Amino acid sequence: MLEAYALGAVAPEEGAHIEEHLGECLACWDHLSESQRAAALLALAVPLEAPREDLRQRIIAQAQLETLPVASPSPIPRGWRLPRLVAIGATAVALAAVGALSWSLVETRHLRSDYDDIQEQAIISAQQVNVTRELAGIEGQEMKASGRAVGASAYYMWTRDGKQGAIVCHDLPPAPEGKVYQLWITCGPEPLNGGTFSAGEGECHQIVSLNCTSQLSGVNVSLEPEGGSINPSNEIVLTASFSR
Amino acid sequence: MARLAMRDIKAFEALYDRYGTLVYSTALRVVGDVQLAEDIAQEVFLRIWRRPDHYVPQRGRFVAWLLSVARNGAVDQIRTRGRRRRHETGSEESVQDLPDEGRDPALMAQLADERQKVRRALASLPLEQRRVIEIAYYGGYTQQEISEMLSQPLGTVKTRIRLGMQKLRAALEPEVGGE
Repeated sequence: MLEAYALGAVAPEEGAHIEEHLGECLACWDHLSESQRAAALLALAVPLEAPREDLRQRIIAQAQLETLPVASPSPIPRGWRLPRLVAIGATAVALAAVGALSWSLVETRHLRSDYDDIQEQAIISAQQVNVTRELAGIEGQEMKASGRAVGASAYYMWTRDGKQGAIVCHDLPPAPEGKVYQLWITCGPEPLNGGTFSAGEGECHQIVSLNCTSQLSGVNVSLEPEGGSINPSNEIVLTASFSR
Repeated sequence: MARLAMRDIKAFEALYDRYGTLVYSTALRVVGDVQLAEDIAQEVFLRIWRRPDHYVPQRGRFVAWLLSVARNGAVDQIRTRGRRRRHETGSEESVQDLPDEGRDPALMAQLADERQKVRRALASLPLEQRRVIEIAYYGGYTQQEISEMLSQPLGTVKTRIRLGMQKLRAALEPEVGGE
C-alpha cells in the first residue's frame, strides 16, 4: 500500500489510514521515503518536448516584475507562541510595515518600534489592536474553520489600499504528510495563489502581496499536495468572505 | 537556490534553462495539452522564484522535487478540469535527448544518464506492472479507478503496483537510497 501511496494512487480515505499508521511506524517512513524517491524519478522517463521559446520569455518577464515575493514569512520568529491578540496586533503592524511602501522611513521605524514593543511586552488589549489597525489602515475578519482545521482560530487582515494581506492562525493542526496549507485570495473571477504554509506548532503568520485594489471578496485556505496547487482543491479548511 | 533567495534573475534564468524542458515535458505528459502544460510550467518556476525555501535539500534531490511539483500540479489540473487524454504505455521510442544549447554540459550528461537508467528500469518491468504504474503516475488515477478502467480486480492492480514499485526501487537503488 505504501508503494501506491508514493505514486499518489490511493483514495483519500486510504491515504488517511496510511498517514495514521505512519505516525507509529518508523520503518514504514523509511520504506515510504524510498518509494517516493523512486516515484519522483519516473518523471525523468517522459518523452522530451521543447516548450515554445516565448514561454521562457514569459516566465522570466513575470519573475522580473515580481520584485517582492508573492508570499513571505512574517518577521515573527517561528514557533514563538504569542497570545492570540498579540500575534494579530504584531502581524497588523508587520503588515502595515510591508504594505506601506510609500511611507517615510521615519514612519516605518516608528512602526518597527511599535512592533518591538509589542513583542517585548507580550500584552495588548483588543482595543489596542483595533487602534493599531485603524491607524495603519488595516481591516480584518475572523475566518471560519472546518474539516481538519476545526478547533483552530484564524484571522485575515488586509490593507485598505488592497496591496497587502496577512493571515494569522492558532491551534491549526499540521498539514498531513505530503500536503501543505495554501492560501487563496478571491479577487475577481479566479482565486489567486497566496502561497503555502505548514502551520508549524499550530501557528501561521503569512503575509501576501494582493495587488487587489477592488473586488476583494473572500479568502480561503485549502489542503493541497506538497508544493502547492494551481487551483484550490475541494478541501477548504478556513474561509472568510467579506465586502469592501 | 541561495542565489534565487537573493532575487538573482540570472540564477532563475539558468534554472529555467536547465530544467524548463523537463518540467514542461512532465506536465505535457500528464495533461496532453500544450497551453495547459505551459501554464503549469510557468506556475512551477514562478513558485520557486517566489519561495525558493520550499525546497528542502534534506528531503531529496532538487530535480526529483521539482518534477514532483510539476507532476502533482499537472495531476491536480486534470482532476480539476477532467481527463483530456488516454494514458498509454510504450512511449519510450519517442524519448529524445535533453537539449544542451549552451547549458551546463555536466548536469545535462548526468540527467541524460539518469533518464536512461529510469527508462531501462521501467522497460525491465513486466508490461502489466509497468502499465498500472504509468497510469497511476502520469494519469493521476487511483488504484480503484485503474481497476475499473482496465476491468481488472482491485487486488490484482494493487499487487502489480506493489511489485512493480519494489522492482523499480531495486533497479534505481543508487538514485533512491542514500539521499
